[in-house]
Amino acid sequence: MNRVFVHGCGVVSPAGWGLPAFREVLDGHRTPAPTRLTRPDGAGLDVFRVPAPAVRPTWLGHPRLRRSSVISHHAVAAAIEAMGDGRPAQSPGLAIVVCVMGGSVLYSRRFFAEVLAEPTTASPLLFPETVFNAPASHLGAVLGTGARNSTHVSDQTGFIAGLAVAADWLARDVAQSCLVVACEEADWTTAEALRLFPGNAVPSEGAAAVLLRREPGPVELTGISSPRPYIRGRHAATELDAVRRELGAVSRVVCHGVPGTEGALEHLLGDGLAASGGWTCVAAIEAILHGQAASASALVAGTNLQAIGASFARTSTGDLTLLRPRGG
Amino acid sequence: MLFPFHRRSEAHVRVAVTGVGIVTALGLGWTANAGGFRTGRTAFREVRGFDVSRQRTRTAAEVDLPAGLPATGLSSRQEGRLDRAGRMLLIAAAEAWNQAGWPGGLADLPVVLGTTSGGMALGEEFFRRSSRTPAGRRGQASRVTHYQPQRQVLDLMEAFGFRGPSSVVANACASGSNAVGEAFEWIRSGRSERVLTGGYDALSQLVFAGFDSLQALSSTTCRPFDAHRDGLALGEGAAVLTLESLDHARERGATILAEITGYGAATDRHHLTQPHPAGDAALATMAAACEQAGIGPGDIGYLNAHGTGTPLNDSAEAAAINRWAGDAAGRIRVSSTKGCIGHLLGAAGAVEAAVCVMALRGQWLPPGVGVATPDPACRFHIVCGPESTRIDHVLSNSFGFGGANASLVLRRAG
Repeated sequence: MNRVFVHGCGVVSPAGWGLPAFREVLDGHRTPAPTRLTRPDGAGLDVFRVPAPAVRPTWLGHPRLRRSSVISHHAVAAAIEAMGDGRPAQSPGLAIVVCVMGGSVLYSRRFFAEVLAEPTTASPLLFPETVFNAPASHLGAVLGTGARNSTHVSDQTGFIAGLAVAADWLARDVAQSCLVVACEEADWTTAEALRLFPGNAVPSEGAAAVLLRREPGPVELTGISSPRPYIRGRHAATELDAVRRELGAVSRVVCHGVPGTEGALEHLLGDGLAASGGWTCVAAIEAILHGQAASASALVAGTNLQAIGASFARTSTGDLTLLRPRGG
Repeated sequence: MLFPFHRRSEAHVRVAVTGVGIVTALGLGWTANAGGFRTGRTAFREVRGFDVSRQRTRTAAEVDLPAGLPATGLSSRQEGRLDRAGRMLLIAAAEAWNQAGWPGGLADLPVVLGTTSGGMALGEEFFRRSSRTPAGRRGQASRVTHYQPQRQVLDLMEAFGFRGPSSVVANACASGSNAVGEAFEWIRSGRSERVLTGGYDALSQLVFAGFDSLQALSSTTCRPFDAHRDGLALGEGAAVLTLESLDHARERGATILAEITGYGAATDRHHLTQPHPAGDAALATMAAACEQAGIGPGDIGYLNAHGTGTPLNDSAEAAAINRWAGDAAGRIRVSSTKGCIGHLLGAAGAVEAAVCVMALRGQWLPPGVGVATPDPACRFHIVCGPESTRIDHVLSNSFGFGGANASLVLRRAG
């Protein structure tokens, strides 16, 4: 049994917290503006930040999130939206795959700066939050699940690779449902790092989440291409073309990683590292849900690992309203 | 296509280990490590790789790396960009690849690795240089690229001439076991004939200072399951295993070193850094791994414990083993090899799986060192000195920050 269906999506992006704000950007009704982060030497670096939420989410009061960094808040917000309840439901059998590229950079930078200044007083509260799987751990605690929970480090392609991990777990009955989440937080260190690569991408932050199940839903994950790693001088644009050909014709294509390509998202939302791969997939799913396409592909050329793509299609029996965000 | 899955078989496939490469502070390769683990040799010294003069604890199990690297497809320029973690990974991979006798040019070989830090030392240097005024930019792009674990994946692909799906698992100290477990499941479910897997982590200043800040490092000696234990010791290293279907390995006449027969993973929601005192998730992973392997606690001839040497970890793991094994607890031989080589974090699970393969192959038990007074909470037999005995099944535990829990079951070949 190989079929896997999308049962929910969630987004945190520079447009704001939730799918409605994300849709406004996709539809051209809103354009997030970059803000400036300051380097230690006073120089500014442009970054797309997630704006503060209009209302403080109640789940931020969960004891696990008290000392956590914003990357975990992004992950939890997107996941809860994908779960569809607007609040954390206890989901003991829910498996979780979290994908990161930069990970917990804010606390890592702060902690290491403390270590370099005076290691004997470096904060023990910061260090545990620097590990890659801290957001996944907090998410599991908030959602009350003790099922399999795994964090994967990759480039922007990690989210689609994470969909494959989740599909495998579902096919093998490791779990009945699986959340795939990509999350990032912006810091001057990541902005500085991205600046070193071609493309002039403005760094960004946020999260995306997709809830997958084997039981039929309104949108089906119909395919994931073979990953095409950048070995022996292979180039992103060439590899992305190969991915597009492998996935076949669809009504809509959403892209990340090759600026100027039709359907590219980064000029709208910046480069959110792992989150960008998630946004690309959610944008493809949203196109189907809003009747703009019967099928759609998300194509992602990562910065420094590979190119990969996923395709989605509307199912004949699915109720599209299942995936509409409340109030959206 | 990566999905929908093409499965070569609908039945569960038996999974063989045909190659093992290992790098620890005990030495480079199978022979040096088997000798060290079998006799319970320890490998700690004051850290030389970075400044520990202002730390509470100053020792760790540091690897002496050779000046040269094994011949692979990497150019000398590419080799020059590798940091300690990448070099250890490459050395371990070369040993495993050669032992397995795999050819180059494998077009669709999955690779699943575990790490907590990737090339963290390069990330630290990137930060130091970026923080200066004026900021230094020379070499920074290379540091950013090679700091990230996905670069180490690409380096392996270029070194051994393969490509395929890749996955880097970062589940803290369970990463290595999770990686080996995920690789095992790739083959068991019929998705691939072979998978390259393992774990790697190098000592870094950030991580060393982090554990020191938590006061988790022993100020005496690392003594897992000793009643007077006072913390863990850090180490570094790598292990790589070549896994393939048993039928495939037999068809090509490969030496079967061991089989992997079970994998369990679960999440402990209790706390970000502390295990549930009763070890609920640990019990779940041991039970799941053994159920998949079709055996019970009484069949386990040796259990390689996570056994960090911290008071909380070892008491929770002891409680879990006691509950899981029940009446069989007294017959199970348990040790933690972290007393010899320290805690290798993201490499730990893979290195300990490699130790289990060595133990099954040689029919010996690695002793836990420094155990003068066994913790009375342990109802199982703690291996305190070298032992040779018949063992058919071994179980390896790995538990990490964030509640990542994983267990593997391995079986003697033949």
